[in-house]
Amino acid sequence: MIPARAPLHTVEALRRSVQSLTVELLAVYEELALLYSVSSQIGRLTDEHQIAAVALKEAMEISSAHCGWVALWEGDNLRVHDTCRMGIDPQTMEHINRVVLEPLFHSEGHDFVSHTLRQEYGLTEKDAPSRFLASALTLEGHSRGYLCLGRAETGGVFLSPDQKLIGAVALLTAVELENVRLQRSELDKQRIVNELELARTIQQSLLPRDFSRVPFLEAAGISEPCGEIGGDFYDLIPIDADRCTLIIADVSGKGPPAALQAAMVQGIVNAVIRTCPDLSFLMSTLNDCLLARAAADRFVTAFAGTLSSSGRLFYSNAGHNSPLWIQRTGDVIELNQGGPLLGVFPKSQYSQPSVQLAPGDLLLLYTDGVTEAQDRRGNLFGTTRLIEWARHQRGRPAEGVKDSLIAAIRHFCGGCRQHDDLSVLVLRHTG
Amino acid sequence: MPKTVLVCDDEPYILESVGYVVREEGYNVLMADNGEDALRLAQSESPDAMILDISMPTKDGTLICRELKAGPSTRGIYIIVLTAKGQERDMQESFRAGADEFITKPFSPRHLRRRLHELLD
Repeated sequence: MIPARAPLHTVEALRRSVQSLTVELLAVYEELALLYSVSSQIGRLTDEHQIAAVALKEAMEISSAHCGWVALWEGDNLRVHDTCRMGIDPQTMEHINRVVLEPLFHSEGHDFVSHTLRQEYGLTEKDAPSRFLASALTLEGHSRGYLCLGRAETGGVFLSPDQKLIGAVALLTAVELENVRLQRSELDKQRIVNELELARTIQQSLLPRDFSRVPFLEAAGISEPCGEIGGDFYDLIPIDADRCTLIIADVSGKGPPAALQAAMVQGIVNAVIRTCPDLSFLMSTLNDCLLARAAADRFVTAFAGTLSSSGRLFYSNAGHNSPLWIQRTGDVIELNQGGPLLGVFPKSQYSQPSVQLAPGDLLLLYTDGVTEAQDRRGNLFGTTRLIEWARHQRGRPAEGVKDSLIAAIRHFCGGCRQHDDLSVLVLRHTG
Repeated sequence: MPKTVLVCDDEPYILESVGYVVREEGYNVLMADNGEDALRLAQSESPDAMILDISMPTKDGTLICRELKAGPSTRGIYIIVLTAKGQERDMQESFRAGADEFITKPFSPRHLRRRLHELLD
């Protein structure tokens, strides 16, 4: 049986239908090709202006726009890089940004289309477009700026397919701009980490390592900031063959600000003590310098001592945790005389008492990171526990005493993260 | 006399849509949905240009390229390879086989129109 031939009007209708679908398919191809081209080009770029310029070029070409620009937010202002503006005078563009885009942003508008921009906004500039399309570069509700396209009056109006396509380009651009921002922020973070690591190395190098230059004592020290760098330091400064100055200090606060101030204090101590080993003068000078130069709300606690080969120790304590004098006999004495903390009270006076050390006596200098070390329940290591520990240290070498204290604190804390810098300097008078 | 373009692709919707673009631009269109027919039409009709897919059953585009560029009467046909295989090595392989131009899918009809005019007008 021969099938009946389709009526002519049906064939014609089918042909038209195929043609219409083909046209639609070609439009989809065009969109896909554009998005593919934009994403493959901008995906390789790391500069936000280059990304914006590529997106603008492609968007202008696909939409047969006469002019276009990409405006990005810099603080509260829209800025357009020279490479992100085509076919329009900067003054005209800035006028449109001001009267169209800024109000659009404040009304939380995403896209904007006008067929009669010149009349609507009373634009008198010759190169101001009549047909205008602005698409927000928005990602997760955060606007980075706008992709703007314009056509002259003789150009066609922007229709919803244009809006959809340019919106997709704007989204791709926003994603890529965000990627660049995240990448840059990650690099910045890495740079800060590297700089802090360098600062830590420098700060550790400021601590004395060679204690053998002072023949009448044996010493061991450690300084552990709770971050990369901290506000603690200790030092041991030989004055002459028979005398040396020892100091430990703690700048209030933590991190880089405290570390900078600690370095300043350490520098002053080294400069003053070499010309005048008087501890009252040293503390007064430090107090004056800190009052004159220090940032607000910052203070320093410090303990300084001058030990001679005979065992005579002059000291001055400026509000610092009292160092422990651990005698051979097992008695433990707190060295707490001196004056107020540094950098708070003008014209403070500091006394300089002295004690006589016997060979084998120990001095333990420490910062509040020791006594304020906390266990899981928030209990502090405390002075009582420290003195009790100290009673068992008599006669031990300095290095062993230091290690024993660090081990005792770690055991007490049980792995709890600490919130303060911790420094310890142990000295043993060898006679 | 309008120039003639031979389009060869085994995907009917690509064949139809590329043919539509060529026809709309005012050129004669020949269409083939397989390699053998494409070769036969190229030899008998001597088109001015050819838009050729690479991945096709029985005879792929690279082989067709080689055969056309080896034949004295067909080596002058300008061959545009249109393929989804967009890697650098695919492009190099097509050029080694004799292709004159390489366009990847998804293709831009606008770009294809512009190239046809640049080549044939």
